[in-house]
Amino acid sequence: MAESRLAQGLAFVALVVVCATLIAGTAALTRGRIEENRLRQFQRTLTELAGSARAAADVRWSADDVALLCDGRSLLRGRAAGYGGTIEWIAAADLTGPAPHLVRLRVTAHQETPGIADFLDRPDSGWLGALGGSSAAALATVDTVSGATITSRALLRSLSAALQRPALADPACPA
Amino acid sequence: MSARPDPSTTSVAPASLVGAGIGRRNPVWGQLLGLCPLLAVSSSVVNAVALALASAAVLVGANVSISALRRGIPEFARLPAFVLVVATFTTCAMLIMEAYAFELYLRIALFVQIIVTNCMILGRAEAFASRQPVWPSLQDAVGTACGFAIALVGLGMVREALGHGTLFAGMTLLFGPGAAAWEIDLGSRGLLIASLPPGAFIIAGLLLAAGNALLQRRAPPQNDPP
Repeated sequence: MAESRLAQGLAFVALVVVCATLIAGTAALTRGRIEENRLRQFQRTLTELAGSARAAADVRWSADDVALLCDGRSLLRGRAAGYGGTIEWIAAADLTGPAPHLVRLRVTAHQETPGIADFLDRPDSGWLGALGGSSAAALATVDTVSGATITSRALLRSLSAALQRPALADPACPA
Repeated sequence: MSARPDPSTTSVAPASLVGAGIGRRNPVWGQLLGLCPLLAVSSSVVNAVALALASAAVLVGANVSISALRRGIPEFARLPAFVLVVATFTTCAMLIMEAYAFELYLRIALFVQIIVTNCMILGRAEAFASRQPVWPSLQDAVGTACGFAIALVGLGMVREALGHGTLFAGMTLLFGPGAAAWEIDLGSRGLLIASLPPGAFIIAGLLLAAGNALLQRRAPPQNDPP
């Protein structure tokens, strides 16, 4: 009896080892591609917002997460405390008007509920798209997305605070 | 629930294992299993297809390996062993999806992860694969996976059509740029509730009722006036 218990226990351990090997093997085979996907996604976002691949390569973030583009625009990045975790975003802002206003916005990472917060991944249409052209004051009057109140409110607050960063008020282009 | 006829009495001839998984013993419409991912992910066809593929891969992998290992799996640690096998295949499916369908992965990753806890898969492992040889277990897994896929994609089509006014939008995420032409614009603005969770419950309930009504009308001949 004791021996058969031991044999069964060993069989279980063997199963654990096989399963772990299978996962490790798959992870090793897919790691490169996954890293590449993440990096490419980020670069694509940065290029889109900066306007060109060259501008994206020149982006240098300041301490308060502002990167001036020297063409009257600036990149901003920030984090919002969403419903499921941190929402990371990057935006391009236009500094030529009386107050800085958003031009484009991309959410680069989030853990919000799939299905409900899918709008975060669709930047050009709908709610995120409608934020374009908004100043910090205008953002205060934007309605939240129904069903995703916490998510959208967190993002609105974070964006509004970012548009009031001191570096944007006095945009001195680094030589 | 009690008003529904026992599934075992509604079918006369023992259909093939694959057919049973699609029809009588369908995990969703027959047994109401796997509803969490079903209701959460079925907001569009592309999400539904992706989850159906991932679930199918896990189901087939788990059923076949549990069946092959059924004599080696210790009785006292049966369920942990099944969960371990299912979790292994789920993790692999997730990694593969992240590598080859990255944008789709970003949208439904959470629900691919919780395939581990899908009662449908653990149920087939416990009820079928742990007692049957490999070949029948494979057939059983394929049947169950097809049944789940049909339910998922069916619900996805109805919800996408009602909620977004489109059909097959975003299939490029799964099938490459050639799939862009598959999108059908139904010209309506969409009914928000259909794409939100309450709409999922309502539409799934209506589809379930319609399916049961069809089954009941067909199965007992005495209730079927000519």
